[in-house]
Amino acid sequence: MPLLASAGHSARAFLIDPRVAGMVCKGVIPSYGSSRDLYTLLRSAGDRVSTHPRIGIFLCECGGEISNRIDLGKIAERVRSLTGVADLATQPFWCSPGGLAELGRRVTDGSLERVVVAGCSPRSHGNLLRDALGQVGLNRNFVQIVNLREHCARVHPDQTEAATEKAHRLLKVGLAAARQAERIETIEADVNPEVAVVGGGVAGTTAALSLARREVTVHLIEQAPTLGGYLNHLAKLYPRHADAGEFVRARVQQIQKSDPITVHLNSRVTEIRGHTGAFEIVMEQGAEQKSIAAGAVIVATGAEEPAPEGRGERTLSLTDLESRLRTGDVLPARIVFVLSAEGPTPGNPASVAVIAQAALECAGAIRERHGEVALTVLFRDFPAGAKEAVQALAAGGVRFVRYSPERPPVVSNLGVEVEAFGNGKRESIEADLVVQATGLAPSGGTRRLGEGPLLWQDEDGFLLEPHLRLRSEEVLDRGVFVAGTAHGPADIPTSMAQAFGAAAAALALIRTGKIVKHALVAEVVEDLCRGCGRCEEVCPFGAAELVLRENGVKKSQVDRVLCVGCGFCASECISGAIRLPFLTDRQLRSMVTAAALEG
Amino acid sequence: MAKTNGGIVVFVCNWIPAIGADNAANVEATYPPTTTVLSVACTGRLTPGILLSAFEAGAEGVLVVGCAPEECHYVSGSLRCGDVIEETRELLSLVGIEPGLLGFELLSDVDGGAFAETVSRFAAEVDKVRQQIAGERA
Repeated sequence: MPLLASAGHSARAFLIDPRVAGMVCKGVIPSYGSSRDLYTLLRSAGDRVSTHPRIGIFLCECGGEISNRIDLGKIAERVRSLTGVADLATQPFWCSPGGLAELGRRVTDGSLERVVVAGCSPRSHGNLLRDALGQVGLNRNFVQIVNLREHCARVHPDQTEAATEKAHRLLKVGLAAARQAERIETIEADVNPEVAVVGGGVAGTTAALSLARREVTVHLIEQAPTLGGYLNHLAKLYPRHADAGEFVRARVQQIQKSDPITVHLNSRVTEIRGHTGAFEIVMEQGAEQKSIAAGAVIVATGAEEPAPEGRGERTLSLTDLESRLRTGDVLPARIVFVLSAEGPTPGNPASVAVIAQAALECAGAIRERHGEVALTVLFRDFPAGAKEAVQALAAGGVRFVRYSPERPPVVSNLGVEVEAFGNGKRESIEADLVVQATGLAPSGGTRRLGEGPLLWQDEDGFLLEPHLRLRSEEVLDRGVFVAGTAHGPADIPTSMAQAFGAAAAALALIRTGKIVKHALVAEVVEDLCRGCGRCEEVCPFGAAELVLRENGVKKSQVDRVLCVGCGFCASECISGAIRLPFLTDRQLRSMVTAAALEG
Repeated sequence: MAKTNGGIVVFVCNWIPAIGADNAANVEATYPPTTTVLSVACTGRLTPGILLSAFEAGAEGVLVVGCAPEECHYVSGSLRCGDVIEETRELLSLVGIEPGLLGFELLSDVDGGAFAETVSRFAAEVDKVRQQIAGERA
């Protein structure tokens, strides 16, 4: 799906909503989304929402960090009498072993249904407190943390009175949250121990072999009749000038010898669906359709060099030239390389850098084997690190002409017209063959899979992974990994490094055996859903989708494993059919109300 | 016009701004105590209804702080929120509340000083707008 899914929240759609229209007419602001609230009320008969739960409030001094700046005694007095408060206590450190034990004891003895701990940031001890109270049977979401230290004590020093007022307000927010908190469950899902690798090029084969060495069953899927991918068009491989043909042959042998790898050739993957730990890879084999199950997927569908304008006998792409070098064809006497300044993906400087590297590599190969050929390289810029190669080639008689990006070289029947950068000198260089190095663009397979809901595309159509490094413990790796040039232009060592990385990530996922996560996920209220599909449109994670029910009605469905709880679907839903049980609109509104009032 | 004896509600997403808010405490930055920080998973989860409910309850101002679009952990959350803010401002105008009292800021790093400054700046802005309104009425 496109990276930047449109928010789609059009003002017009909003204004025709009767509830908003009503608001405008009456000149007041009623609670928007009232059907959602009504629903919550209807359900409140069960234990999900107990309207008067017994709440325990536990104030933490944080060893003076909080109590020196906030008058906790005064707060205790003021909140003790509030609705539902069944217990209240203050300690220097609730996070200490003694403190945690005391908390648990008080919850059990006082039959507390909700707990508000007012102390440090939930980032510091939130999980510690929730886990400890979980042991006495209190649901995670029934423990609300009020951040008195970071949100109040430390940022309002030397103003005890104002800070105490604010702390009181924060506690009322916490109480509001606790009163309305709903039970959230733990989600468990099995992880299929097999991995599918889509694409049999350098990245795909590297990932497959790496996993096979760790005895993971791998399905290696390639749409061509042979493995090797882009390598099959190359002559020599950067940086050690290895023979590409040899390299591929050795790879294929290795793969044939490794038992855990099943190779599926002539197989065009059309769709990846399912969720982390249980994917289904749908592919076409000729007229037949087949699907494979896997716990993780590595997408290594690669890139390609678009054909240059006027491609023919005298104009070749760099890839075409490499193929010729590979077969040892006779080369014409005068060759001009034109290195594109922009390439097919102007937003991606790596594309030009990689192709420049490859062009130098080709020029070197020609110089070595066909010393008689006159070589000219027209360039705009070289990547850092290319200096030595350029100098060596120049010393070997290769001519380099730098052009200005405003006046790119013009290819004619006879050769190339170029204006040199700096002195503006124009010249026409005669050539028997012009090699246009334009840059890399996503391959057809990369584009096709990027359209699916589980992968993201950048503006050039290359694939992106979610920012895995930034995910909190609550959010899992999604299980679809990208390696090689499907990611963006890369040389072979980079592609291989990415493949190892993807294999390691896939391995880590399937070795967990089971996914366990707290259900910070959206929930569909089917009776309210009218099947408009806006949730599916806005979900960046492919978690919300419309499914056709037996009675022919479309209803939204949220995949609990894929859902990360961002809440876009809930905020987009105009029927109020999507709820976020971990922080409902009703709950958030009562928190907002408590927060809005001073004191 | 809603009651105006309230404080300022600051919505932060659970990532950059929330960490920034914690860091503000760690670098001893300060901001006015009339503010209350509320954390949601992503600012893209907010709706005009939720933002309006703050004004309805009497908030002086509402500030939404999210991650810079390229840093958004949920891909398009900050952009979604931008749209929601636009809509909410239109609705505020319709019901006669100064749209400038709804602030929207995006942070690209977790610097505590920057967070405190963002909040302080907005609080000062709200004061100014409120005074202006009071002046116009007088």
